[in-house]
Amino acid sequence: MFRSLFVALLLCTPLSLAIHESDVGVIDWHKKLIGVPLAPPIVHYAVTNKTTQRVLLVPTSSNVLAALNATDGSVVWRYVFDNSDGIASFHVNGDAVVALSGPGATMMRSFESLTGFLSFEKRLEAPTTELSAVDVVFEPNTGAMFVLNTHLITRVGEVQWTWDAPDKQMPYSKLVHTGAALYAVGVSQATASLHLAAVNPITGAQINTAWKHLPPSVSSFVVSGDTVIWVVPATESLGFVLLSPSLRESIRTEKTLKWLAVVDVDLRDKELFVGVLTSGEARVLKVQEGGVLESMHAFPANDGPQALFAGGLDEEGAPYIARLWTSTAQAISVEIYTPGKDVVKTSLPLNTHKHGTVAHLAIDGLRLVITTSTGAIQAWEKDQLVWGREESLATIDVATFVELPLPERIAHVNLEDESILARLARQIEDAQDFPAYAAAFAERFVTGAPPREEVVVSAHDRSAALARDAFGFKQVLVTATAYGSLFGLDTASGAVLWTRVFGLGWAGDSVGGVVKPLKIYVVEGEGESEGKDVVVIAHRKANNKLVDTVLFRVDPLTGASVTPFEENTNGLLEGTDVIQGPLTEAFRIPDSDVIILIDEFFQINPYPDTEASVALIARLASKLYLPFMENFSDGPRIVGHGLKLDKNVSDKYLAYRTWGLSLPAGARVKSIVKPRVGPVASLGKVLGNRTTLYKYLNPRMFVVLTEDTEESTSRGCGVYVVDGAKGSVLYSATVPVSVQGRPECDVHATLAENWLVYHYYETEGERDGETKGWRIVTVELYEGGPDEKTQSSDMSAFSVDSMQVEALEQSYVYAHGITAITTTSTKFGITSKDIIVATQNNKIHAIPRRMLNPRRLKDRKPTPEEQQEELLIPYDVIMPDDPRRTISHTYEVTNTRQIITSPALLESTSLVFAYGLDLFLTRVAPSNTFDILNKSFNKVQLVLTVCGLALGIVIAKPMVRRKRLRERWYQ
Amino acid sequence: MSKSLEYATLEPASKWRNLSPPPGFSKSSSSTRVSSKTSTAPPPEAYNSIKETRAFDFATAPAKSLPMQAFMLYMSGGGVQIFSMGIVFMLLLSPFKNLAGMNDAFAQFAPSTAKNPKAFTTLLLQKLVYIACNALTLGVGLWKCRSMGLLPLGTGDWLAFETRGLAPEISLF
Repeated sequence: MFRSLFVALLLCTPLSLAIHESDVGVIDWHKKLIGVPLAPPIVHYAVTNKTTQRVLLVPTSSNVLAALNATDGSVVWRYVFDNSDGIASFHVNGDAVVALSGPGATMMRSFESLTGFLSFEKRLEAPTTELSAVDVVFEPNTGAMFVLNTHLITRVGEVQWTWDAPDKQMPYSKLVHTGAALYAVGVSQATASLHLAAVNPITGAQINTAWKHLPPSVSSFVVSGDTVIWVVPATESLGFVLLSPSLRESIRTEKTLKWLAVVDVDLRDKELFVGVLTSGEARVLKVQEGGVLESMHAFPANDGPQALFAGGLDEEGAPYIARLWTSTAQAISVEIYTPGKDVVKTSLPLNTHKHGTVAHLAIDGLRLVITTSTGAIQAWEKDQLVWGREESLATIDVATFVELPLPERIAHVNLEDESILARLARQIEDAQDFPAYAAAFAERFVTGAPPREEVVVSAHDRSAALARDAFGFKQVLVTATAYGSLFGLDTASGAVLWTRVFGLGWAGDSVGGVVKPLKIYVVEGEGESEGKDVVVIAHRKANNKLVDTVLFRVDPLTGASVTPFEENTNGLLEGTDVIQGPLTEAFRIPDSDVIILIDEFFQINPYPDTEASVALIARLASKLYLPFMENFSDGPRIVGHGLKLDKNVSDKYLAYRTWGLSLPAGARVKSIVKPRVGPVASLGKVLGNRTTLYKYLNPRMFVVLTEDTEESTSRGCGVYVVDGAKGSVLYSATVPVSVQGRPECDVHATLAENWLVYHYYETEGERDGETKGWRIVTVELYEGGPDEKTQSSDMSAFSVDSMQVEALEQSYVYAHGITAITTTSTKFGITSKDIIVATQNNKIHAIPRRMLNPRRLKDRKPTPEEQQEELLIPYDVIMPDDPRRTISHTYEVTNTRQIITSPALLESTSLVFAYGLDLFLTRVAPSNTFDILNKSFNKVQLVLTVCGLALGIVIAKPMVRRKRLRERWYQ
Repeated sequence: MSKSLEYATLEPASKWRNLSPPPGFSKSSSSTRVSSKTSTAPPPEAYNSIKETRAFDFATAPAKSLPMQAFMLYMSGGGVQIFSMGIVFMLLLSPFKNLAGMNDAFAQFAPSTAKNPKAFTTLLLQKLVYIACNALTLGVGLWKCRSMGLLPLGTGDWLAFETRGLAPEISLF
């Protein structure tokens, strides 16, 4: 009781503990994303109170089902599926959106399409064979639905039944509901058959099953009305069959034209579909009574390879069909056909070098919604872009902060060679801003309002030029995504400053491929400019299976490539091929701009490949140790490497194995946690009695997380702190395997200086009184007891004393599971570090260092000295889940994969950027903003007091002088 | 401003002895009595011994005020505040001030035989006691400083001045 009260009191002490509501949106920003669309968005509109609300329903690769407002592109609602619950398909009918998800696509959920409210959730029977396809059709008027899953048909509604196919080797893929019967249609290449089943939609009784022979090359078909249509590639003919309950109709063919493909445009009810001819022409086809195909409209042959079709219904229920194609001249043209009306032709001025090629097309009246290969969703009206979303930001692979350079005016002053006249001219020029500055200063002073843009950058301020602000809060976030795009984001507002798409180099024109970013580094800019450059190292996986390592060096302010130099940023971002083959690992040599790239033969390739960097590597070669994860036949292992030069083998330095981390049998390396490098302000921790615990500051430490391969023994997950030069284990712990869902090692760790924090799920309490739940463990490594020192930070790894480590550790019950963990970082490392975690309930929390002090006392109260000097508090099993520690306010920051932090110019403040599905950036001050005056500081009062005192002196001084003089006379 | 008795007037060799009495004071009436008493008056050595005891009293004065100061220290508390800091500064400074003015302060107690009343060697014993007592005051002041955590005694106070070089091996991550 007392303890928790004490802790609660302590937590109350700092004044500005939680984020103030007035700061929300000023110091932070949040981007709600949905992920890259997997399928064309489905336009859904509902008329409520005479206003039409249009939403675009789209499933994404981030396992999200989302509804976007068709007018402005904002997220109306989204449902984030669990990682183990992948979306299999979704279907829209009226106000209901039905999604099937999970293994075997057995989880069925129905949402209200305008609000996203979950109307029901149901688990269906799983197919006994491998899942091939799912389909849902809705019964008109009753609201019941039929779900086809491979060989099962389930009716969901008031009457429920399940029909199972007699032959499970013939999976069905489409469901057709006509007034007469419910048909399941499937095509199998293995048996060269089209198999059909007719089921009574009311009772679920089987009416008939049949199979019809097809040429084995037929792999897909479309359904239009009650007709199944397919293309036979061998004869370039169209085959179709009418569905009737008896399933006796015979196959007919259409051979007058040479058909290439049939395309379903979601107009099954209108009996419309599109047939593409080998000539490039396309026909809108309709099945007429009596099984005759009628061509409604002919799109003329296009001159490009890619044509996309989309159909839709307008508010009156009239269908329309659009065709989009990219001509060889990279122009994108669109034709919209509405039966009985003129064809509308338009072209989209889409810059394919900025957004990639069109991947999906949807049509909403005359407005086109496209998704691109780089994950953008854009709405176009004629040739005007209405809105756009960059959804590839939900798939950031690597990201880094880049400090902005000083403003041009200050940075480019050459003080030495400046003549007097030039200096005068410059000073006069500088002084012309003075009146404005003075006025702003006075205003700031009197009103106490924060300075407008120069000092504190507001999130809404998008006009300010890209230059460093006084406190360094304005930086550029450079992010590379899994969809081959590179973004520059403004940390002040979250605005996208520039977008680039990675070029494919030699694989670009004919071969094709993808660029997968691996590493990102910030290096000093080349030439005279003060700025920094960003180096992105990526794998280019060409479609012909060749993998190369490509390096892109860009200017973070404009996104322009530095090497090779480019004039403008209109084209694709082309890099330089640095290694012909995959990259094994890349390292940056500390305190230099040299990056060493290790190829698959373990050769060291320096970047930049200059004599200076070769000389640097030659100088440091004997001292460098490179621990990294190598893949062996039995799984990945941690291997340490040294560098040597063997002229017989190669003229480059080679990394050779020096040590391997030996793990207990059954343990397998899961991941490496790199130490967070930053300045170390203090070499030890001063205790209450003025003695010092010297920190074990071995700069070669890193963390290895392992998992258990043998499920039966369940030895647990390992956390190891390893010395990178010789592979000795400095600290190790084994924690239980998490059995939430499926058993897995769900351990997250971060290491800064001598401080390791890890988080895991305690499955079974081993001792009495222990319970299941999340634990957070804090470990501090010291050189020994109080006043024992070994000078670990400059000691050789091979010194006898290097293994003298004393670990202090404590564990706490934590209320949440986490998905990412890191520490804050500040410019000089003086400010205490907070732990920043992204929790599974979509929040970002900061845990203060003081709460994670492993010296918190368990058995006695802290002495006054310890309270005063060390700010020691008694141990409490529970880490309080204080909502004021949530730095993400009420934002939902979903599926955060990584959090990165960057120092600002203010020592007290650190920038925090969390990315995953959503992006979130804020500033934190772990020890409060001790280096700037509080906003509520009353400057006026201070000045008035000083003025009053000065006035008092002026009045009192002559009086005192006169009195003194009089006193002298009477002495 | 402490008023001190001017014992020097007692001495026979005093320069004030030859001054004429102020107007209105008759010397004759008393002079006979004085002269009769001069024979019974103690010799100058006796004055010296009185002065010695007075000097001892003076020397031990700092020690006598210690309990009072200790009480004040106790009352002022352990925090670093303006009041406790004032007392601590007084305790720390006054011994040095006293010692600096020691020879002047003891000159008045110097025996008549002393060649140089301001020499360190006159009244050596008393001065040593005085030094010891002042050291005691200083000690109390330092003890207070220590209890307030102001004395750099532990390694923690010197930690900021420790430096470390670069590690001989570099591990890259």
